[in-house]
Formats: sequence, C-alpha cells, structure tokens
Amino acid sequence: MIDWFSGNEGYIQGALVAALLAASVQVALRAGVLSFASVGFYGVGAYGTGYLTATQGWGTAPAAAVVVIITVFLSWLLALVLARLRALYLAMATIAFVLLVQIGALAWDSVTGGPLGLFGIPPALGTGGVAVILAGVLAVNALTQRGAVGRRLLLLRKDEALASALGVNVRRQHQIAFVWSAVLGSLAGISQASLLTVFTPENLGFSVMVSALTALVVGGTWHWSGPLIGGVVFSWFLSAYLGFASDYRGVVEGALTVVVLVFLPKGLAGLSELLDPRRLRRAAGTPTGGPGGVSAGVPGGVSTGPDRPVPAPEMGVSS
Amino acid sequence: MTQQLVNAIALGSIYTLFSLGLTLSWGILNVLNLAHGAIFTAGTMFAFLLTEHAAGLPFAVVLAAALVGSALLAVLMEAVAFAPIRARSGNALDAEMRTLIASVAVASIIVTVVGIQSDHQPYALPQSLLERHRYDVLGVHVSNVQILVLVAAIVLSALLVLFVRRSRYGRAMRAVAFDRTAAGMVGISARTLQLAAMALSGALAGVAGVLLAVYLGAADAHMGDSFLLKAFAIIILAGVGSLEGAVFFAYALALVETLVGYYLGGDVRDALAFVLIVVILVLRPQGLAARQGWQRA
Amino acid sequence: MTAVLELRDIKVWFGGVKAVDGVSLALEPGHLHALVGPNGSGKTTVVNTMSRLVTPTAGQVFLDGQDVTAAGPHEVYRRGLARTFQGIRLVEGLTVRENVLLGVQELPAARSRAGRRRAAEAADEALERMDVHHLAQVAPAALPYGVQRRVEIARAVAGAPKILLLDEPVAGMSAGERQEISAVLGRLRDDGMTMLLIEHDLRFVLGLSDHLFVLNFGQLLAAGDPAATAALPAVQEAFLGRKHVPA
Repeated sequence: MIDWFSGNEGYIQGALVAALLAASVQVALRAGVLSFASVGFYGVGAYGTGYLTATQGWGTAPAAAVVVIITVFLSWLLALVLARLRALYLAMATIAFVLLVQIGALAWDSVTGGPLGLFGIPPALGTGGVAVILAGVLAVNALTQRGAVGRRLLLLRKDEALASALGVNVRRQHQIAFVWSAVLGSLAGISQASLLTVFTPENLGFSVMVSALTALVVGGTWHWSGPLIGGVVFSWFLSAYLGFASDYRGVVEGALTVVVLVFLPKGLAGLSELLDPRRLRRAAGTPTGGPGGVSAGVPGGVSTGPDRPVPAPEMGVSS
Repeated sequence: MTQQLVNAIALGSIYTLFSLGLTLSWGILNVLNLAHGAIFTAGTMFAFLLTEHAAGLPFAVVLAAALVGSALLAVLMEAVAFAPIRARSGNALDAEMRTLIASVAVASIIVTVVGIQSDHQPYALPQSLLERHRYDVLGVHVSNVQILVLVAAIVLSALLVLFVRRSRYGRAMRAVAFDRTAAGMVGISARTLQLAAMALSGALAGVAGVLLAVYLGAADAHMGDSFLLKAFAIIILAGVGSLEGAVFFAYALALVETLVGYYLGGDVRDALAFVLIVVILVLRPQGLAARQGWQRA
Repeated sequence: MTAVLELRDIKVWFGGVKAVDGVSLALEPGHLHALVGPNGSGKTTVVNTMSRLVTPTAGQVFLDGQDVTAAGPHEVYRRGLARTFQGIRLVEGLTVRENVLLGVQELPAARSRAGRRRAAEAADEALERMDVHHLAQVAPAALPYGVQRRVEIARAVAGAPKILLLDEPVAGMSAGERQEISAVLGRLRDDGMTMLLIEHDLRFVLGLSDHLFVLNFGQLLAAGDPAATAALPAVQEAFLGRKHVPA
C-alpha cells in the first residue's frame, strides 16, 4: 500500500490539483457565469504563496491566508468591473485576464522571478493537506447543490430573467459565484506551488486551462463530483498510462473533451444518474397520479404539451 | 520613429486578417472561437510542410494551399464539434459555453500536433520562398514583405466587405447575425451559411499565419496565443461582427501599441490590449463603432 | 383606497420606437384588471416595466404607494409583485414542487428555519389550490400545456403576492385549456387576489375582468367597465382594423 502510494504520489497530486481547478471553473459555470478567470487566480495563488514563502520567508499558513484574502479582494473588484457583462463578452474578458496574468508572470521579475520562476517554495501542505482542502471544497459544493441554494443555482443558469422575477438578486449571485470560483482557483495555485516547490510561467500555460476544462467536462460539468472524477481519470490514469509529459496528452485531452461534449453532456457523473431508477421514471415523465387531473368539467390531457411551439422569451434584464 | 510606423502598418495588417476571421465567426455563429489562434498556427505549419516536401513551389501556391488547408480545418471543426454541440444544447448560454470549451479542446489538439511536428522548436519557412528586397523610401526602410502584407490585408478585407455587402451569401449572413431564423428568407440554409462563415474565418487565419511567418522569418506552435488578446480588443472596440470597424481598429491598435512600446516599454504595450478590453466593456459594452442590425449586442 | 400598483405617465422608447408613450393607470385591490390591445401595442412592455425588467425612459412606478421606479426586479418581487411570462418558464431538471418552491424561497420571510418551513407549506398549499399537488414529484416538461400554466400560477401565488401580473396566460392554447385557465383565474378573483391580465383577445377577458384598459400604439385608448369600454367605437376600430373581431 505504502509502496503503491509513493510510486503514484505524483499522479495523485496532479489529480488533486486538477480537481480543485476544475471545481473552480464549475462553481462559476453552474451559476450561469461564463468565466475562465480560474486559471488567472490559479496564477495569483501560486505566485503569491511562492513569493511570500520562498522570497519573503513567511510560513505557508499565513502566506496562504493572505493570498486568499488578496484573491477575494481582487476577484470582487473584477466582478464589480465586469458586472454588466454576460455570456461570451464575460468569457472573453476573463480569458483576457488570464492572458494578462501570464504576461505579468513573465514581466514582473521582482515578484514572479520572470521566465525562471520561483524556487524553494516550502512543501508544507503535502498530498494529505491538499486532499483535505479538496474534500472541504467538494463538501461545500455538494451541499450547495441541494436544497434552496441548489435550486437557485439551477434557476440562474437556466433562466436569468425568470430568476430575477422570482426574487433572486442575479448580479449579487453572479458576484458571489465569481469570487468563490476565484478562491478555489487560488487554492489550486497555492496547492500546486506547495506540492511542486517550484513555479514557473510554464506551469501557467494554455495546457493548464485545457486540463482543467477536460477534467470538468469529462467528469461532469453539473455534478459536484465531476471535478473529482475528471481529475482522477485525467491527471492520474491518463498520466500513469501516457506519462506526464507525453507528447500526445494535448491531443487525447482535446479529443476526449469534444467527444464527451457531443455525446455525454453530463460527463461520467451523469452515467450514474442514468442508471438511477427514480431518475428514469422522472425523465420518462410518468406522473404518480392520473395525468392532468384537471378542474371540473375541463378536458385535461387533450393538449400535446411539450412539443407545442412556445412563444419566444421576452427581452432579458440586461438588454 | 518613422521606421516604427512602417512596422506598425505591417503589424496592423496581420491584426486585421486575424481579427476579421474571429469577428465573422462570432457575429454569425455566436461562437467565441478560441481555436482561431491555433488555426492561424496550423496555416504556417501547412506552408512549412509544403515547402519541406515540395521545395521550389512558388509563394502564391504555398499561400493558397495554406489558405485552403486552414479553411478545411475550420470547416471540420464546425462540422464535427460546434454544430453537433449547438444542436444538442438546451439554451443559448449552454451552447455558448460548450462550443467555447470545445474550441479550447480543438486548439489543444492542433497546438499539440504542430508542437510534435516541429519538435517543439521554432520553425522557419525557407528564404527562397520569397526573396527579400529592401527599398529606401524617403530615408525609411520598406521591405517587399511589408508591402505584400499590407496589400494582402487591404485586398482581402476589401473583398470580404464587398462579399458581405453585395452577395446573396453576404446579405444572408447579415440577416442571420440579426436574427437566427432569417437565413431561410434569402433562400440559403443556415447550415450552409455557418459552414461558409467558418471556411472564410479559417482561410483568413491561415493567410495571416503564413504572412506573419514570412514577415518574422519564423513560427512556433504557440504563436497564435498573443494574437487572441489583440483580436479581442479590436473586436470589442469595433463591435462584434463589424468588419470595417475591425479593419480600422486593427491598424489603430497596432499604431498605439507601437507608440506605447517605443515610449513606455514592452510590458506596458503588452498589457494595453487588456486594459482597453476592460475599459471598453465597462463603458460601452456594444463597442465604440456599434451599428444596429449587424452585430448581436 | 390606495392603488396596489400605479403607473404615472410611463414612456418606454427603444431607440426611435415608442413602445409605450405616456401610460398612466392604477390597479385597485381585489380587482381583476385586464389590459388588452392588438399585437405590438406595447402590452408586454407595460408588464415588463411594472415588474422592473424594463426601465422606463420617463415616468414612475408605484407599488403599494412606494416609488419602485429604480428598484430591481428581484426587489419588487420580494415586495409582493409576482408575474408570469408569455411562454411557459418552468425550470427543466426540477420537479413540479421544486418549481413552486422557487416562488417562495427568495422571500424575506423564508430566511429563518421556521420561515423556510412555512414557505414550504405555502408552496404545498398553492399546489393544492391549483389542483396539481398529485403531480408534485413529476418533471413539468412532460405535462400538458394547461397544467404547466397552472404550475406557473401556483409558483406565482405561493408567496401570497399583493398583485399578480399575467402576460397572455392563454396564448397558443386550445379552447379547453383556455376554459381551464379562465376557471383558475376566476377562482383567484373570488379569493380576492389583485390581478392584471394581459391579453390580445378582447373576448377572453370580457366575462372575466371587472376593469378594462385598452392599449393601442403605446397609449391608453380607453379604460373602465369592460362591456361599456369594449363597445366604444374607437376600441372596436382598433381591434377590427387589425382583424381581431371581438364578440
């Protein structure tokens, strides 16, 4: 057992960080926020921790705490600035933010170490520590997928105008999701810096975004367990079979993501749902009572229901 | 300084070709295609492979082949990934999100393959492909490559604008950008239009890539990344779907970047596009040069 | 008696298009008001202005005597203004009961633990009132159109709103379904719910409403007793001119 663990520790660590980053993207998407800022805040987390510990000699715990506070502040500010943006415009602005962080990683030598990066970051967290962080994050995400909060998130994602007409403060909910997403991205960066003890601009490249999105999509975009499943499948099994730096990793990840997006929209986490008999019945729409037992004297089940053309939705809030 | 301006014009020409393709796919398919930079890179790889395996081909043939190859690649991406995803998406936001992620995935495939092909090293198109000449015009050095880049950008963007304004396809494209269901009214199926838009978009990216590789003398797998940020800024300034606006702001951005880089240094220059994006999105989300009826706001 | 909802000289201009051009009206407690007008007369824009989805170019909106012109849609909902939309807007992936819970869970009263329990009870009562309680665990997409509409109305009334706006609730429905919804609205009226029913079919609202507003080209053409107002020549002309022949 111990031999197996030490033999695979690198892969396990990769899986944990990938799952954290995927969870970060997920919490934005599930609230209907098309944001990819996660990778930017991953950089903020990693460089912030690296700078405070390796360069300034702080302990890992206070460094991580300060970095998380900075992340909250920065992301809240960014959320305020981007508050009016929706959909692709927001996606574009957040991708621009990621690109800016990448430029900053190369250019801001005195903090990031420039192209050479930061060395000698203390490995204080360890695999166990990162696993605990991930477990905590997944627990919060699992709890907020149920009950009133879960319903609110689904409503936000499916129909923003309806959400606001049912009392949801859409802008505020989006800001909360954005900040929570940023914090998870930052935690992924803090974990990665501590696990690798080295962080360079190479660690912040395009492939990081690809891996996170692949883990999320393959694992399951809408279920709290998706990032974990995807992280394990990708960073662990795939790395173990392909090798970490396999030339073809980018091809395998990309191809699998497209296939899953087209054929399995709920990812691997959706498979279990398909097998759940309760869900099956619900999906088939078999009512528990008689179909449409309607008020007196009105012929109930006459209409065709779902395939009737529905008028186009009105203008949204943000037109 | 005058020399810098000549460089800015060449850079602006590349920005123009790159941005036109991206704004076209966004305006017509409502997709933010993050694989656009990868297709741009793929164009240089097509040209590189062609010159390796069939040395001595004239430049025009190589350029045309790269154009066709990139267009086919973009069409393939639309047919295999974007279209099936759109067809199965619950609502607009869902479709936008999933095509966006798919474009990242496709970019990953292309960039990885180009990386393997080039052994992760920069690769150069042979000098013999296009002999370089330098001219002295009023004390400023101008190369034939710079002239070629400028002429190509002007001719291609003029052709594109004419096509969109005058042809039946172009009118249908404008109609679709305004209203998804409108294409049928012009007698062209939405499916055909989407494929045509992606083909044009890919072709423009491929040409831009080859011209840049010739201009710089080298290319590498990640060269498309930095252009995405610039193109975002240009599209936002111009308003999504505005072709004339994209041309204007491509040159404007290149000029301002060159000036900023000259006076304030390279780091400030690189951050300029991001700052512009944020400022414009916050102040005027519909773009500076927005017009009704062609872009969806 | 103060009006539950009041519009004062509301103007909504989209670019050069004057969708609503100076509308003033007041909705009295306990009445079922109807707002009719030909297609494109600005009805939906009026509702969207009331529910704050559209910000008026000029004019004011008062809810229960308070100026809510600058409030957000979520704020007016929390203050007791509920609405339905023209198309069915039920959330896929939630059951009928979960959809109705959405109508109560964001209200200030549902913040405490006890409040949440009372809110859930209110949702269950609304399901019963709309006669859909036996469908509570069903996915709404599979239900007939008329039943889906009743689920939406259950969601809107679960939080006991001060006023309910219904934007063409029977658009695209069969005669049987129209009767079904008409009966539901009649019962709500008898229970004392203040309502505004938006409709392009004059005939549908005549027997149902007790106060009629007629909108044409973004302006109020007439208002008052339904039968008398509908008989006015100007109203007849507005509808006949667009081939909507009332009874």
